[in-house]
Amino acid sequence: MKLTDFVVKDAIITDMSVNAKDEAIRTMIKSLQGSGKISSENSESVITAILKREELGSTGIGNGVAVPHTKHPTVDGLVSTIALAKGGVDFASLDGELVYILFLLVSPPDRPGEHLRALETISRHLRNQDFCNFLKQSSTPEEVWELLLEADQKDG
Amino acid sequence: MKQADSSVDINMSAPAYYERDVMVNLEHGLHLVPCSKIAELAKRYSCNAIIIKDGRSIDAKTIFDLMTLGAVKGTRLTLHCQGEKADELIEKLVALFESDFQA
Repeated sequence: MKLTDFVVKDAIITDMSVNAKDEAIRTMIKSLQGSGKISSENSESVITAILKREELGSTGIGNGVAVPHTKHPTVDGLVSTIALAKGGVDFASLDGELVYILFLLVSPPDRPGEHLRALETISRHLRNQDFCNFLKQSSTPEEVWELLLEADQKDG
Repeated sequence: MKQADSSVDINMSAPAYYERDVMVNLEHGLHLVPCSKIAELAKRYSCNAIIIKDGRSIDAKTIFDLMTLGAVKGTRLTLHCQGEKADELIEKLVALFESDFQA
């Protein structure tokens, strides 16, 4: 599975400046809403679902990275966006560190295999320190997109 | 306590080595919550903990690595533990899988 198959280019944020987890998730969902991937009437419900998932355990999995996610019946396919928070966000991460890269994923409930494969793809790239470093240095959505294309290509 | 059924002592001087096969029975596969539980448990032990899927082995103490298994329901995994209290850890890991991570 390729990152560019499910990341929504128009919803990528490279200068997210928020203090709290809920604010970060809200900002990212609003960005997906702005790109037309999540409707305005459903966005609150998606935000609530993601925050509820966070209650089960933070998706701040260490290394300055978080992967907030949920399954939601209002999406037809995998929908994802990336946000870079240069100042860091307190995500109650498992390692106690701030989060600088956020990969948010919403997927349809009837396709658990795809959801898992997307998380697998995201994790595989995020454990590559070079990928994380280049991502953090990106200052425009275009730069992030180029990086994703390159990562997908290397992935074969 | 149930004895590890396929434990093999490689040689007398090496720390005891244990191996068990488990099946992923979770409807949504080995997603982030179960991966966190595995890593949290494994990190409490000083012994090595490795999970093997289709010949590829990953460190069970690292959530990033666990997530890259992409283990959907029905996936068979092999657990390897070696070192101090490896027998205890492998039993606890097997119990996690057998209880569908409710343990």
